[in-house]
Amino acid sequence: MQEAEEGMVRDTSAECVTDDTIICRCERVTAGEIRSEIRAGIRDMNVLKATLRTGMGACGGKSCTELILKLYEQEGVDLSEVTLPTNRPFVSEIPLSAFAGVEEGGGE
Amino acid sequence: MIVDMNMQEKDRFRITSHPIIPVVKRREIRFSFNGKEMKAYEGEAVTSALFANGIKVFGHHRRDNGPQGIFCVNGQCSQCMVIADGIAVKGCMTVVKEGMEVRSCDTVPVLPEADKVPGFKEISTLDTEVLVIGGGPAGINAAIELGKLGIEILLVDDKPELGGKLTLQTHTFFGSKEECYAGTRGFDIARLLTDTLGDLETVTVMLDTAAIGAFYDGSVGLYGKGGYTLVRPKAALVACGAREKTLAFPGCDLPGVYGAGAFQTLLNRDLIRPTDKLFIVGGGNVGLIAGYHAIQAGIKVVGLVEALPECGGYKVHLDKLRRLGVPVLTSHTVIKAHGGEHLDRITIARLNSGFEPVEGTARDFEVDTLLIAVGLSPINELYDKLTEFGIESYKAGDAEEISEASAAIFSGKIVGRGIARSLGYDVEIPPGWDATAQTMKSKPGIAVEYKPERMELESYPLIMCVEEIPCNPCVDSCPRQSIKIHGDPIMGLPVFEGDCIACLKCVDICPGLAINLVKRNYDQDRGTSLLVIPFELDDGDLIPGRKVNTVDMEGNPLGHGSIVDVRNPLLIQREGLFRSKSPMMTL
Amino acid sequence: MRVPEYDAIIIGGGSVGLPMAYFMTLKKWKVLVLDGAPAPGQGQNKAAIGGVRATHSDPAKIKLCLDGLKIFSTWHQEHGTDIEWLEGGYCFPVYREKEERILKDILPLQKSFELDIDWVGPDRIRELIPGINEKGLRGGTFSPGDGQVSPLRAATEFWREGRDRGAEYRFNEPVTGLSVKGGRIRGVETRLGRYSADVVVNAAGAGAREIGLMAGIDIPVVPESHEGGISAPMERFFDALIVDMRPGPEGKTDNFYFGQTVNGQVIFCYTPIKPVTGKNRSCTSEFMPVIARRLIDLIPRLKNMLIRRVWRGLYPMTPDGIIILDHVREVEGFYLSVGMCGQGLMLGPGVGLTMASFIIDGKPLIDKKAFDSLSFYRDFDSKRSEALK
Repeated sequence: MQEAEEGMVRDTSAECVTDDTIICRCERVTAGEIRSEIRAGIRDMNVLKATLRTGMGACGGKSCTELILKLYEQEGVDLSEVTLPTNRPFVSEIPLSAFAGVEEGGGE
Repeated sequence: MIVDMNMQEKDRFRITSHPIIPVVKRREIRFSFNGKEMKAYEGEAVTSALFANGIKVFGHHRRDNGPQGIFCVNGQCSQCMVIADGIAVKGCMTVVKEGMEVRSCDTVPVLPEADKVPGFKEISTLDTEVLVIGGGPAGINAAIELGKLGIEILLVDDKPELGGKLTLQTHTFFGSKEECYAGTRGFDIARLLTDTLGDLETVTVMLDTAAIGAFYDGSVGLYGKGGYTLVRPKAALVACGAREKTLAFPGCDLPGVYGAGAFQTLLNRDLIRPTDKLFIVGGGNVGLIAGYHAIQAGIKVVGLVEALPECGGYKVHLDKLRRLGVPVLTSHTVIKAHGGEHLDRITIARLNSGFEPVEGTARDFEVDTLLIAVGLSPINELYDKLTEFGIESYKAGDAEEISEASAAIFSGKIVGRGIARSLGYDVEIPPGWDATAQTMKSKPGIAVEYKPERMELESYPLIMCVEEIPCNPCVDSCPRQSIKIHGDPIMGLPVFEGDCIACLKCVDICPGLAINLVKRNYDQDRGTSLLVIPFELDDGDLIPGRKVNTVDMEGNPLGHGSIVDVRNPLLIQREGLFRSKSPMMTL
Repeated sequence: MRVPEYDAIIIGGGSVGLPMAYFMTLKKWKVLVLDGAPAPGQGQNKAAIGGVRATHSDPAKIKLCLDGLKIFSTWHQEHGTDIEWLEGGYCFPVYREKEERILKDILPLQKSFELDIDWVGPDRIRELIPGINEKGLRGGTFSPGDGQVSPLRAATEFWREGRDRGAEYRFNEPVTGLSVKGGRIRGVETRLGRYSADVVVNAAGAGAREIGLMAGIDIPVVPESHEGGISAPMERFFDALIVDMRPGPEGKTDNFYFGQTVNGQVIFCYTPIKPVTGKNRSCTSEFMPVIARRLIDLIPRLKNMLIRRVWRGLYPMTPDGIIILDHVREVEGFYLSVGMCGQGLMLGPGVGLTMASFIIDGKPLIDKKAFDSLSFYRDFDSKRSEALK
């Protein structure tokens, strides 16, 4: 019997995740599209960013990365083979004006 | 709780009275959504303002027109993007203002035509000794430890008030009283900590401010009300807490499917009642507590599913839900969410040992809200970068390891002192702290069978605490010192030894609502006893004299009684004899 | 340890190596591509801004990029896959007499290569770039045939096409040594083994020098780092890749350039006045505040765009800023396609095409004079500099 842990995702089998299930919410990428790339041999999630745009959306992969790793597992891929997406600034999006110290209310 | 059918439409989604949370009057302001004028309360998030007006679908995705709603309400998932006064923003992190024009983000946002070159200002840069990122239980406690030593701290938090997720917790806390405020309600702990911090002169707090990036040159970019600032800290503490994991199943992207934490934010922070009934996925503490919070707010919890054979949360939380009649189905999960623009139905199924749905066990429930509570992930992207760039960095609380708030409080204290020491300050970390911190992180032990003690006494407590968890405020609460824990002082199970003066302090303090009190010969004529139980729900239905059904600690029917009084706490008169086995009752 | 035999081994699976492998497979060669990164294009290719122009002043670059433009612009028709090609042209808005003179002076040369480029007046610039700062705007050049592409997708598609035609790729496998015997190249070594071939091409981008030294050849390629950034998608309002040649008033930037991708993200970069040599790929806090001002000063409405991500990539620079395409006389069979100076993306397909022809058929596709100007044996100190880099 597995010990339940707070941090552990309750696994569901591959069957539960149908091909039309949305995995990357920001870019609306389905499990089927991701599985297709995994089966075509893609093991670097930075390539998935290029071909599917998973992880390229507003949240920067915060929601989908773990789910995609789960899909890799379900396809029988050893996670040690999978390269995680590169971590770069920024953690959330901010307007260009902030970087230029643009005064509030100016420029209208 | 009875829903007042005469309630005005505008209040349908607002909580106007709550058994625990004080409902404070706020100033009403006007804003518009897609051109339609609406009312909101000053200071609330755009997502809450929209929900209060019954708007749960904020827009549609440009790629496939999929309806968009909320998911995390914590600034992490970016689902709730809307256009506010021309700028694309996260609705959950944007405060609604008088006259604000909010629009759906159906296609990509259009850049407003603003063609005059604005004036530029230099970006402000500051130096500080310690940058604490995150003002939740871990961050505040670290800042307090550092501030007490006069160390210069900058504490940033992306929310409008300190406390992190403590501000959402209406229940009283576990752990131990001395070190982590056990027995005090979460949002009260948040206020206490904020006040303590406020007294420390070398601590600067920046609210509504997020740390958005760490750079090679050892600076950290902050973005908040004051614009963009660069900080150069000597040391940094990442205490950003955790984000909710998502669960993948067909329909998981529909509005109406969102995180349990998101639900608690709407409910307990913003006093929004998003629905009348909901379903929950996940039987850890987050899911179980969310269910209880829902019931406190008058929302029916249609059911809770847990994929594993047993719920991982504390038994006391699980039992509370069972006693309140919530069906808890283990080895089950949601396999599909249905709906067009919004969730309207879910399908659950039983799972075999391989976590595959068993054919023929699928069942549907009509609900428009499904809470996902399948686990948490530490938010610590900045930690790796800070370390890589040579800033002495630390992690505390959930950002380091997912656990309970009581563990986070302790983690903050220890890490805070550790940082002070590494900066050269002469401060001790009491030798017992590490061990206690580990204890706070403990997973529950095995549950044993309940055996009531000393039932020959005139009055005695029923301490229905049968699962080892890090919790012991009952011990200190008893003025007669009759409650003892043998073995580990925090993890051990409490036992009743000694006498009882029926002061009700233990009944009141138990965070798990697991202690009742019996006064044996309460009504000699009728031959009934008095049972006192703690009660945290709306008491509108509870009229003295009313007959009620009673259940055992796990919710199995046990008999009936009649209400004697409702105070703090509630008193019940029970008819019939006590059985020596399990005379436990709650409402 | 395997010892397979190949017609050619290409060191580097990026902007240059991937097209080259593809073109070699078209000539039925058995090719192996080796790269230390985990996947195609994960070196500097993915850091590129995406601009592709034939609008240069150096004849060799013009020709190579014209070939590249043809390949990118017809990719979707030829192969059915999408590399997010956008034929929006390049636009150089001009505010000073200095830049006006430079650009007008090279127009005749550019036109002699049949480049579609012209000087246009301020009205046309305003049409091309809605919202552009009009103060002092003199006009500019516009070359509608240039464009932008997604570097990531282009790399992935070149990789797939090559793979479908039998090219082999080994990632996570950097070359650790070159096997040279009797003045001939025999193959390469990695941590996993030896691979033999009579032709080895150095297309190693920022790592070109280290590879050369493995055969005792000192190639003057020194990486310089540049930072770039990208916004969240918004409604597209300009198609051209915009280059502002002026140095910035803050004294830190030389030119800066930016475009808006097919899905509406504005992608931007500046050239620092003081070059930063080295391989540091970590972002600094200086980049965004500096480029924000330049962007907002040029197109004020950009102030409201949300910035999503920043990164830092490397330009493999040569002393004279010109690329190196050649065979190494001292080591027969060893070829160089290096020193792209930050223009690897736009040069890659043309370089790949011409080098495949040079290596396999004995002569490059571009004319001899142009090709010879790219020789490894030229005088790098001749101070020959491009009017338009």
